[in-house]
Amino acid sequence: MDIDRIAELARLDLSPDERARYGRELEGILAHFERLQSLETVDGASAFHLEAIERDDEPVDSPPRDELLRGAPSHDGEHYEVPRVIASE
Amino acid sequence: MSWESVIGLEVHVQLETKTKLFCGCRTSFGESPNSQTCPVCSGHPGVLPVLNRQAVDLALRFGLALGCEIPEVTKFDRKNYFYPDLPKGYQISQYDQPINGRGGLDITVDGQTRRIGITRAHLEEDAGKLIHVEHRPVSHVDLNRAGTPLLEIVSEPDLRTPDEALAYLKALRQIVLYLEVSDGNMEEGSLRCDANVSVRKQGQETLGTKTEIKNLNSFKHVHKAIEYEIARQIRELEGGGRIRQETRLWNDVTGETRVMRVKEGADDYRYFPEPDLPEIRITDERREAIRKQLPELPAQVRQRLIAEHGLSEYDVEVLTDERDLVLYFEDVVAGGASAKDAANWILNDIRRLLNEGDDRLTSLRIEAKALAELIALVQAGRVSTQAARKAFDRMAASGDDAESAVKALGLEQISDRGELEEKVRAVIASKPDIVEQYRGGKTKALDALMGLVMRETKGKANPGLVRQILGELLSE
Amino acid sequence: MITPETATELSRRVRNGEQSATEVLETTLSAIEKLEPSLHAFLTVEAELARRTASEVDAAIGRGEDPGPLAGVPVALKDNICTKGLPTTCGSRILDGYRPPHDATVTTRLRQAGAVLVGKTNLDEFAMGSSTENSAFGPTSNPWDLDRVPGGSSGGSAAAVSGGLVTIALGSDTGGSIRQPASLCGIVGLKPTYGRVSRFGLVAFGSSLDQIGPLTNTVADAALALSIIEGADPKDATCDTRPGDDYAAAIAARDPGRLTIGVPKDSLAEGVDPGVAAAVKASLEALEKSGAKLVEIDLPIRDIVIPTYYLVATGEASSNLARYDGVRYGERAEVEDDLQKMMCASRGRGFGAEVKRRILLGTYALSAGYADAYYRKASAARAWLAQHFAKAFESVDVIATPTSPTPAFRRGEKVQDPLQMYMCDVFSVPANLVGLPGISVPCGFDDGLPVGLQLVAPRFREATLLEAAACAEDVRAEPPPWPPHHRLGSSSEGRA
Ligand SMILES: [Mg+2]
Ligand SMILES: [Zn+2]
Repeated sequence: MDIDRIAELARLDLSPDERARYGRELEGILAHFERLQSLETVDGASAFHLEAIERDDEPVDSPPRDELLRGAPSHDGEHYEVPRVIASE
Repeated sequence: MSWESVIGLEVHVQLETKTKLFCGCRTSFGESPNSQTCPVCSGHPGVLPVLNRQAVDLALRFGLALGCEIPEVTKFDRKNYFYPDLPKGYQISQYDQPINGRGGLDITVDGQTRRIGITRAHLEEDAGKLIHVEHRPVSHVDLNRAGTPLLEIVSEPDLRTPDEALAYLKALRQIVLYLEVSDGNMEEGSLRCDANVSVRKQGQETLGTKTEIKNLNSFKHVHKAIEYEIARQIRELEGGGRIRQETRLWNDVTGETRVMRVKEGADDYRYFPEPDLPEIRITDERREAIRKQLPELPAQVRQRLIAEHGLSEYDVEVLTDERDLVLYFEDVVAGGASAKDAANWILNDIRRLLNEGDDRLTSLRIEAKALAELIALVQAGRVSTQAARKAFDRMAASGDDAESAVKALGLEQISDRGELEEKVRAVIASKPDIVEQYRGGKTKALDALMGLVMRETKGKANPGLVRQILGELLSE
Repeated sequence: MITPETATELSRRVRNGEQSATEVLETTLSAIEKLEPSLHAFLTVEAELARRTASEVDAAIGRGEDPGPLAGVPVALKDNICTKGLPTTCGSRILDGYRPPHDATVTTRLRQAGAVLVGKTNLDEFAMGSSTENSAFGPTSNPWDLDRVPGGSSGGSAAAVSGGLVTIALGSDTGGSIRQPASLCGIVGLKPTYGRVSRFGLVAFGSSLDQIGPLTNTVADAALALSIIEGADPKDATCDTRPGDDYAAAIAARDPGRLTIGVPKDSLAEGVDPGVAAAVKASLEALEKSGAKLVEIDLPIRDIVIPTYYLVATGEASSNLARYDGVRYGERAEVEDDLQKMMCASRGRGFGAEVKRRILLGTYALSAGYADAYYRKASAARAWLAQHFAKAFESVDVIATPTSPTPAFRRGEKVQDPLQMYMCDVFSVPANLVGLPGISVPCGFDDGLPVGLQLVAPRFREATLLEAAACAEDVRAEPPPWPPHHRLGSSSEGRA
């Protein structure tokens, strides 16, 4: 298991110790989970059915902006503020 | 050695709903930042999405119009990636059971009509907006757009030239406008286009390595960027290089595409079914109800106009360019004008106004009914065609109806036979030399007499009637 | 007057004007003051807000109005259930100080029923754990033995009810997080059918598994709480629209004679603590003696439930926890130079060890090249499990097992071995994977520590489940004593 790649996908900073430990633990857990592979299953089958609901296209007033912004680690009163994006994407 | 280019387009169309795809926030454009957000569309802990029925209906309307395969069951999936404008850390999209499967769209280039395959058209939510701040090492996030319903329309790699790509995009925009599923406004981002471009040697079966070009936010850019990219790839290959699979950004200032991101392996979006939204069963009733309400599409309208009114292919092409123009045309005809007259006025004078103004039929001050009246006044001989143009300009500026514009400008023709006969007799009496020339076989002399009568009446005389009276009196 | 130990009796008294909501609340607040230092069941206690609510209830009663079926009943919510304007931390540093701009649907419904919210209870971080040791704000102790865990992840809610601080606490159950702590603390814990209770405002862990439910002293109280929080919610598309049943009537009309209880062959064998097996067996025999029919059933699922559960739950969790990125709320690591670094650092520092372990496992289970073998395989295994349960329910009304293979274990005993900890969930996770309702009822003791009997019923058959649970409650040898760390002290006085 490529723990570095998984940590990057999950956007988790891990110390070298953590990498070693999680790598080892997850190998062990996954080895135990191998038993699932021999089970005969039907792809895409689901355990139970849920009836979908859809909503009418009726606007609901948004809460005051401040209610959402005030909990932000950084904002300018109108926007959430984040460090500049350096890696191009 | 000649090259062939292969192009596929991915078009994101904003669906014209009042509210977002999964919450009740409004979708209006240009509002104050983060003023149209709630805990749901800003991805707060514990919130859940609830699907907007109208978005589903609009997506189905599009799919049915393009002959797409509509599945019995469609579902949503999560596309996982991190970006500050993506509040939940995943986009709710559709992966393996899109609401619209295979369909197609006809395009006409250089008189040749070709069907371009649609791979799929699925529903998904838009992301927010990341704004780069000048002079400070920070960016700003505005989530007003986050959660806006989009239809992502993916074409097959069936397009071969920039002209075809442009024609496809125009046809697509035309259709979404006809269907009223989107306002198709490219400047406001309601219609966005990415292009997948590759080249291969003529006759080669396999596809070349493709690049994806983003940021094509006008018809002009689409054409230029694809043209540039094809040339770049050919130049690269002919120079012995190779094409890397990458995402490139069109820069309109430099007129180039440049690398934005190299796709190492593939992105790992870790798609899985969205557990917060049960699968949607699309019942026959729902599908048929939407099918019944489908409006006429441009191709159908064109056929009908030619068959019903005998208009030319060219006239019909221009008339159907925008659905509003067709509706206007039909209203003018319904107001009593002949199809030919209505088409002439619309194709010349109305379009001139639109080109001069803000391009919107909705802000036009001449109602279809008023134009029909004006045409009727010409038909009845009450105003000349030339005078009618003057009246038209006044109507466009003031919103007057035809009758009042003609009155206000004093443009009404003199069609009273008695009154005109009197004037004609006076002119004949005062110009015996010209009369003589005419009688001597110089038919052009009649025009001179006509001109005199018109001058006498300040141009208001009904020219047809004057000519008729002149003819009669001179042959006495 | 001694404040009674059931919500049913409390609300009856408050509605009849026999005891004021304020008086009831003060008993609760002084109990909290007395026991919290040793239990640490709560992350926040909202005494002032609670006093205001209680006096509103009293005022309503003074005006001759009925404040609702939970009039004046102090309640506690697990701290992963959103409370507008009040801290909701999920036991995580990454949400330290977070105050949601919205209420969970259950929060609203409790308030509308006249309940008095006293505080938010401790939990394993983001409900990931079976011991409440994974809370970023310190562990909770078991009222039966302060050195032992209360179970988890709803350990704070379980300890709050078990210690007599409140009569109803809500928890959430993704793989047993209501039932297992109820079992370890000697109380009743009900996980409703998936879709019975709105999840709106429950901070998601495994969205297709999560369900909110009550922890109470009695089955009747669990039924009362369910009747208030259940039902259709336009804010949750996975919430069922059918109305609930009359559970109180089902309990009142209970008759063990018409009950067929299925007992899986392997459920009392290997891997189950002998004391637990003995208590469960005794309880089942007592039920049989009272007229219930016991049937041994074949439910050969034991080997695969843990892999299935942990792959589904962590896969969904890895996605559900992506929103904690330091952008819009919560803790941000001060890394000024680059956005991606800021996100990685905020998450790396904000999440605890178990949460990171599960995010990694879930990310892996969903990643390209592995999703088919892991996440999708596990999803398909759920359907396989559902078939086995459907077959079993052709011949039985409920299925009985221990809730947990062990009684409360010592703090620190298992926390170092994640797989061993995961194996404890073997009896509880099937109900989540198949969306079934399940309940844990106290059924006896193992060396002085409570043991729970788990009953599981078909989807939306809570009426049957609660009836069976009430029968199990009836046949207990004698009313169990209060735990040593209870509001009323250790006494053998029966529970109300
Ligand atoms: Mg997309
Ligand atoms: Zn919203």
